[in-house]
Amino acid sequence: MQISRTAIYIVCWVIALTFFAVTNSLSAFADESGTIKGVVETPWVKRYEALVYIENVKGTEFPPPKENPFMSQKSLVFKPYILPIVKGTTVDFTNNDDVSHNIFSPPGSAKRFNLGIYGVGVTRTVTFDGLGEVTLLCNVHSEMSGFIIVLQNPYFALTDKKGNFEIKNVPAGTYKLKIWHEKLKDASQEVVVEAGKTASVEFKKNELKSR
Amino acid sequence: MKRTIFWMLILTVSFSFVEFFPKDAEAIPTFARKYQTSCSTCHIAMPKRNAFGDAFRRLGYRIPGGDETYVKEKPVSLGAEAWKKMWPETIWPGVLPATVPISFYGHQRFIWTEDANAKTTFDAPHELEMLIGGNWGEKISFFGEWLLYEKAFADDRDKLGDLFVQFNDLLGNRPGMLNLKFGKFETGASHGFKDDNRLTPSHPMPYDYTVTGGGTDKSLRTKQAGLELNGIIKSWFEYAFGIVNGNGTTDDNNSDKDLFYRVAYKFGGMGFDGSGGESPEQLVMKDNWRDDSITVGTFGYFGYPSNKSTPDENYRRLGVDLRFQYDRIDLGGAVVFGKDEVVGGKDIKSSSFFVDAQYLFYPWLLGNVRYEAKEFDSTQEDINAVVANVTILQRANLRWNVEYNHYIEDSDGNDTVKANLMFAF
Repeated sequence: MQISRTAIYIVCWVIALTFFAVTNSLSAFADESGTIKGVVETPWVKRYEALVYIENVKGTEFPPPKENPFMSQKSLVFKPYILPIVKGTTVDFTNNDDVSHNIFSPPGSAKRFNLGIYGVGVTRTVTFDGLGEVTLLCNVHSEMSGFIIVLQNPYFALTDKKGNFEIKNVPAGTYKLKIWHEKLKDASQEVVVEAGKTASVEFKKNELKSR
Repeated sequence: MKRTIFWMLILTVSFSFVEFFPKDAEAIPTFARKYQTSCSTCHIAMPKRNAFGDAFRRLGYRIPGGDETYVKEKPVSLGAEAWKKMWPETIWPGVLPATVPISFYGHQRFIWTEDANAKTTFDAPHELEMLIGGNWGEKISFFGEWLLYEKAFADDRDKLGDLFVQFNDLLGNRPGMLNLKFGKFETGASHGFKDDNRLTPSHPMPYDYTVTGGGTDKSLRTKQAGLELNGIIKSWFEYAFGIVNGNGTTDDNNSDKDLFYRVAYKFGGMGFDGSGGESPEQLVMKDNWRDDSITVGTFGYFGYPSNKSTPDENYRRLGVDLRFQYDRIDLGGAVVFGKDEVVGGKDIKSSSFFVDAQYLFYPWLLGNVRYEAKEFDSTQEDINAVVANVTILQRANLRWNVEYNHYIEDSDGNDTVKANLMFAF
């Protein structure tokens, strides 16, 4: 059977158009995200980091990570001091000290739990299924404290000592950008993220009130 | 030859007129260490504070606008702050200063006294003091002053200048609006204004004078044991009132307590609570001495020294004060009117005033002239005097000064020249 020349032309055109469409759509997909960059202007950031996060990305469910993040207890200190996670994440509480700990969350926390006393090298886990702030305390060592912040999405960043932050790969859109800080009341700003661009945000000192 | 040596000493040392200067020295290096900042952040020349230092004191030794962010010495935690959420199931969390909050203050002097047997005297050391101060968390402050050495004070109770705890911000989160001071302290009637912010080691007469033959031998600035409520309203109005034993350092002998008050309003400059000011970083080594403003105040003290065995000899002091600051000039004054009841006799009426002019030539060189007087409608001697002082700061914590005290009438007393070296560490 002989394939007509016209048919070959048509097939070639279909393949070429399909290839063009696919590559074009892929590159468009890659460019649909942008970056949010900014600063939180408060002297508090020298001592305590601020968490900057997008409050809600509509229409998307963000699965928890496959590997559990950890909240270590080492030298009578929670490490990290602030752990932002996505809702549904299970966190490993590992005692890396030479003494026992009893980690719990006080009233007002988004997740109440009490791990009981556990010894050196032991890991206990907690799944955080509600949004918000979870304060961590140790019943054995009253000076210890830490925070887990449960968020709806993975678009967040902690500030450096100068208050600078950067959130990458944010889908293009308009969002409410919020900050959480243990010493400050929540503050928010609307931010427009455009594909392939960087949006700048400033949380000014006079907008930030003490808790 | 003696005269030459004397004047050489005067020129090389520095001078002043000192009665009981240390009694309110709040130039305390403990705070400098805590915040890793220079004395000059709060003091023009110890103990004289700038507006920022005044706000720091008024707020209970806390830096305006978020003290904790400026603390460089991480305090010892007595419970993480989040334990507040567990109250009343647990003790409210607090902190201890990271290092023992102790400082020392030393004072050496050389005195020349007119018409005295020993015209010249080295009074060194004149005194050595231990100072403590700090916070147990944001809401509780403490301050103390213990005279380790001074010839004039033999009694241990006299040696303890201050020791008080202040509970801050009793009205929630409004810094300094209502504070409660408990312990031994100079009452708010005289503390915190020109007496506390003088350049001269000697105290202005209105705060220092006593009445002979009345119900008390205490001056307005005498340290007293009791309670004081003080605070700042809307940055520009300050108040203090309280109740004290009235017996100074000695135990009270009656159930009647003394009362006092002071209210003041400030126009311009930095608010009493530090509002409108610059951050400590901006203040250091800048013109932090400048605070263009006018402050007016009124104060009173009502003494009730009665007891069961002796009749009442109540007394009172009422006064007004004024301070005008512009650029390098700091002018001030106060007048006090007193009335002391005398059992079986006529009440003694008294009055005292001072006017004071200070000029800052350089941040390390300041001059001060004061005219002061006290008058009595009794046999007690009226006194008029002029005090002149030159202050040189060799370092922020090392101060020289020369003070000349001249009595207008020869009969009022011998003129003196005193050279002082004061240091804190």
